[in-house]
Amino acid sequence: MGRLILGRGVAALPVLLAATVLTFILFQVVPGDAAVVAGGDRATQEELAALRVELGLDTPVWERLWRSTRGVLLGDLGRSLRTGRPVAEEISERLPHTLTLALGAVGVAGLLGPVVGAVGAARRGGWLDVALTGLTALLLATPVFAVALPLVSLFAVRWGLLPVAGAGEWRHVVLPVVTLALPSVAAIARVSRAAFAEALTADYVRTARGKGLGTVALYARHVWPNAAPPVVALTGLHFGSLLGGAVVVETLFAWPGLGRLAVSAILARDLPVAQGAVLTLASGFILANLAADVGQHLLDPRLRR
Amino acid sequence: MTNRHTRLDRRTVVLGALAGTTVAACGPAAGGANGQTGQTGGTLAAALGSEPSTLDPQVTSDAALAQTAPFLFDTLLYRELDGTYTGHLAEKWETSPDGRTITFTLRPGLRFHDETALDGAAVVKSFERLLRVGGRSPIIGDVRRASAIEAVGERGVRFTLGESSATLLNALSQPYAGIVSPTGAERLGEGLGRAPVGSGPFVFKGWQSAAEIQLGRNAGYAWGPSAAKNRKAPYLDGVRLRILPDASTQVAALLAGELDAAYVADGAAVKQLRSDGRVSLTSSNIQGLLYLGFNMRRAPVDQLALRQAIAHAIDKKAIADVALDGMAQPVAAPLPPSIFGARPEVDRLERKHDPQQARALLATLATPGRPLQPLTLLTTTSAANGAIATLIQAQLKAVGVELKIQQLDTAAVTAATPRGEFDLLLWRYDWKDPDALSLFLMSDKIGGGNRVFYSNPKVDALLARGQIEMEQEKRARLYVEAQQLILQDLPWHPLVTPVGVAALRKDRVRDVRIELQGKLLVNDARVLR
Repeated sequence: MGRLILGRGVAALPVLLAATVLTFILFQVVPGDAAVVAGGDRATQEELAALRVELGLDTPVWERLWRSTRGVLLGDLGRSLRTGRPVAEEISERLPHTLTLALGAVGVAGLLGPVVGAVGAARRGGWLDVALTGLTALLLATPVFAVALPLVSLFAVRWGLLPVAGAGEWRHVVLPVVTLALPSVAAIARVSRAAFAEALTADYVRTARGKGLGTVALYARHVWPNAAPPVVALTGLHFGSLLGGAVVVETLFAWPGLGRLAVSAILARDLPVAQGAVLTLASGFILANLAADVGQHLLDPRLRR
Repeated sequence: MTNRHTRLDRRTVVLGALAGTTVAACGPAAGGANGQTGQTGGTLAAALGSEPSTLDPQVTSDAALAQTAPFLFDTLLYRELDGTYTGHLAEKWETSPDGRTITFTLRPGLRFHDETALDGAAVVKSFERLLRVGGRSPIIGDVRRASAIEAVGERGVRFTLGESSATLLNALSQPYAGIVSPTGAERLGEGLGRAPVGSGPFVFKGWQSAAEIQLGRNAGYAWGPSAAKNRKAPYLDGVRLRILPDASTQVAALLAGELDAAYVADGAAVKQLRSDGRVSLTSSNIQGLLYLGFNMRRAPVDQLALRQAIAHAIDKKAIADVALDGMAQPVAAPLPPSIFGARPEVDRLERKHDPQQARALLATLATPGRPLQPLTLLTTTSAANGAIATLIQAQLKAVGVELKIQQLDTAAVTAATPRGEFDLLLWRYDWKDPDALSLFLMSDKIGGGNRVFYSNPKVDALLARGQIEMEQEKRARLYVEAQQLILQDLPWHPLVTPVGVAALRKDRVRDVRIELQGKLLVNDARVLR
C-alpha cells in the first residue's frame, strides 16, 4: 500500500502540470482577456494596450506560459488579475467552505446511499425495491435548482426553520448539503443495490445463514466487504466531482466556495485564479480517488497481498 | 420567527457595543409615542447582486462598487434625481466665466475615518492618487482634462481646465470620485482595497469574500448630502451587504426576513414580491439604454434601407412587456428621458413598428435570384438578452429576414466587436450624462466604445461642442441635433430603457431612500422592532 500511495504521488505531478498548461491554452483560445474585462465597455485600444502592459499580458505567449507553469512548480500561484490579491489567499478563503459542502454531501451520500441500496437489494423485486429504484431515477434526472428552490421555499421562507442563503453557522450548511447530496445518494444507492444484490446471492451468504449467523453480523462480516468495492470507488469519484461541480448550489445559496470563484475567474479571464482553482480541484480529485483506492485495499484482503 | 428576532437583537447589541456608540441598541424608541416609530441602532441587511473586486473607488469600474462606495466615501458634489447638483463635501463652488476654472470650498470640520482632516490638501492628494492609479476608472478621462488641481487656502480646491468641461461636475458626483484618505492610502498601499478609509457615513468593519461586507456607523459624521434629512451620523448601528448573486435567492431572503432591502431587475422576482404585503416596491427608470446596433462597415446592414426595414419590423412594446416581463419602457431616442428628459422633436424621427413598411423597404433591396443572407445578431449570454434576441428573431422572420443569434459572455463580445464579426449587436449602456453619446458614437471611439463603426463628422462636431458648452440651453440643443442625425443615420435602433425595482421590508425598516441605479440612501433609515 505504501507503494500505491507513493506511485500516485509521483503520477500526480504530471497531471497537475498538464492541467495548468491546458487551462493556459484554453484561455488563449477564448476571445477576450483580463485587459478587456478591466477596461470595460468604454476602453479604447490604446487604453487596453496600457492595461495589458500593467497586467503583464503584453509579453509573448511562450514567456507567459513559462511564467505561469514555473510559478506553479515553485509553489507561487501569483496574484489575481482582477483583485490584485495573492491567488493562494483567495483560494484558502474559499477552500474550507467547499470542503464543508463536499465532505458533508459525500458523508450523507456515503452513509445513506448504501443503506438505501441494501434495503432495495434485501427486498429485491418487492414494492419497496421498485419504489426506491423509481425514486432514485427521479432524483438523478432532476436538475439542481428544481430540487433547491422547493426546499428553500418550504424550509426557509414558509417555515423559517433554516436560513435561505449564506454561510457561518451549522444551520446554513443543511440545505446546500441536502441539495448537493441527493443526486449522489441516488447514484450510490443504485450501484449499492446492484452490488448488494450480487453479494446476497453468493454461496458464502447461504453458508453463513445456514450456520445461523444473525443479519447484522452477516452484513457486517460478509455482505458489505464484498459489495463495498464499487460503492467505495463511486463515492470517491463523487467527492472529487462535488469539489468542483457545486457551482449551481453555491450560486443559489450564496455559498462562498471554490466553484463560484472558478466561474467568476473564467468570466473575468483571470488566469492565475482559474489555474489555482483548477489545480486545487484536480488535487482534491486525485486525493479523493487515492482515498477510495486505499479504502478498497483495507476492505479487501485479496488486494493486500 | 420570534426566535429569529430575538437572535438578531442579541447580535445588534454586540455590534452596538463594538461600535462604541452611546445610543442604546435595544429598548424603546428615542422620541416617539407611536409604537411604529423606529429606534436608533440595529443593522440593515441589503443585497448586492455581485461582489466588488475592490473597495478602492479609484481603481475599478465595477458596478458593484458604485453601489457600495457611497456608504464609505463622500464626493465633492451630490447629483439629485432631477440632475441638479448640490454640494456634498463642498459647501459651494464657483465657475469662472470662461468655464476654465472651478473652485470648490469644502465644509469646515470634515474628517476621514482615521481622524485625519479632509481639507483642500487632502482632496488634492486624493485626486493625484486617482491620476496615478485610476487607469480603469470611468471618470479618469474627465479628471485628466484638468491641467492643474490645487489647494487654495485650507478649504479650497481649484480645478484648472484647458477648456471648459460640461462633464466634469457629473464625474465629480460619481461614486468613483469618492475622496480617499491620503494617510490611509499611504499606510495601506494596495491593501486599501480590502480596508477602505473614506469619510462616509459608515466605516468599514469586515469583508468575508463572496459572502458579506459589514459596515459600522461613523459616529463623527456630520456632512450628509442634501437628499438626507439627517445630515449627521446615521441612526443605524451598521449595514450588512450580503452578496446574493441569484435573483430568486434575494426574493426568498427578503420574504424570510433575512434581508431588508434588495434591488431587483428580474420581472418574475418582482411578481413574486408584489403579492406580499410586507414588501414595498419602488420602481425607477435606470439611466441606461438597450439598443440594437448595426455594423456600419459590413454588408448588407451598411445599407440604410435595410436598417430602416429592420427598425420598422421591431415591436418595442413586446420586448418590454414580454421579453423583459414589464421591467422596461420603450424609448425612441438614443438618450432616454431618464438621462436627457423627453424630447418630442427627437422622438418624432423614430422608426416605429410597421411591418408593412418593413416589407416595402425590403422589396426595394431584393435582387432577383439572390435572397437576403441570414444576418448574425451578437449579444451576451444573459437570460434577458437571450429573450430579447429570440423575440427580435421572430419579429424579423415575420417580414422575411432571417436572423442567427450568437451569444457569448461579456468579455468575448467586448473583444469580438472591434473585429467587426457581427451584423447586429444587442447591447446596452449605462451613464448619467448626455456625453454618453460621445463615448459610444464618436468616430474616434471606433475600436473602443464605438462598436458599430459609426462615423459622421457633423455628429462628431456636435458632441465635441457638447463636452465644453457650459450653458444648459445651448448644450441641450446640441444633443437634440446630434440625436436627430443619429436617428436618421440609424447606427443604433434604440429599444428600451430598463426599469429597476427597489424592494423593502416596510415592516422591518423605514425611511430608506431609493436612489437611481439601485443605490440606497440610509442616513435616515431606522430599524423597526
